[in-house]
Amino acid sequence: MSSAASSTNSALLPDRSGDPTAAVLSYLIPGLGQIYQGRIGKGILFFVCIYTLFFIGVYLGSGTVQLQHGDEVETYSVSSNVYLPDTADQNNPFNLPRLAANLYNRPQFAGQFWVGIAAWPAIWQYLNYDRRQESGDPLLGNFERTPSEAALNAVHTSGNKLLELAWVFTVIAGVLNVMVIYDALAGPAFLPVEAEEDKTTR
Amino acid sequence: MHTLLPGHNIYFVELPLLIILISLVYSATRFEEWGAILYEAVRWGLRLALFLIAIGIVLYILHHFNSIFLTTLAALVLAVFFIALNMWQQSTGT
Repeated sequence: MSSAASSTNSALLPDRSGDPTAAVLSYLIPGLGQIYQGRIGKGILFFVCIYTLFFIGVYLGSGTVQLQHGDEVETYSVSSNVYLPDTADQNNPFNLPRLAANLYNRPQFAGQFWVGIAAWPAIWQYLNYDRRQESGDPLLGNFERTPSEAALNAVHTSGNKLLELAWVFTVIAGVLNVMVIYDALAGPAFLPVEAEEDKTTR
Repeated sequence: MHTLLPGHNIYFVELPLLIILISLVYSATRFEEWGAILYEAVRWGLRLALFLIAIGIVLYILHHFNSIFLTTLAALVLAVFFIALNMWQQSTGT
């Protein structure tokens, strides 16, 4: 039974020359490319694992604190740790292009980007960022929006190590999805024996 | 602020979850059959856990004894342990 199952799996594997459609689908939603290829179990595994990592990271990296300044109580919120701030004017030591300088200042986003659609709100927020809009973007609100420096400082100083661990979750989710994209493009690193034999006899 | 479980320790909740998920995804990109995926995931999970424990031991020694000599010695002992473990795994094919 197991050999029958594995030979069925081998037939579903992408050719080593590549399956770009599946790769793009796996970029958009982790595991979607594998599901498109008929490798449904693996696709679901990738989807569940990568989105669990990513959204737990987003959840842990968010927070709200209330600080008392004299008689006033101020509320500071960080909605997510997936964002790309426009800080090229403040720090650009190598005179990089604007986007590259912003990624240099927040390299986490270069990893988070690869999780696909789930990181696109941060790109939208980056392109439409307006510091004066306190309520956030008209479409997405504060989700994946660059938080103010005061909010970041307030939440980080009131928090614990979880906030640092949180962005590790989201970056690892993105970087792991690069491997998932490659799996959709060209199959796993080690092919099953019968698939290997099949490819050599073709 | 919020946490997944109130009053929990990240070393018992988030870190094991991180290791399990990374091991599963990594091994699933290397193999196609479920048996091989799970075997590789367990192997990688144990390796990751051992590596993190080793780093924890080195940092604990540095913090507790504040001695560069003892810390270097511990790091060397652990490096030798990992090299021996790798050689043993290669020789037994596990």
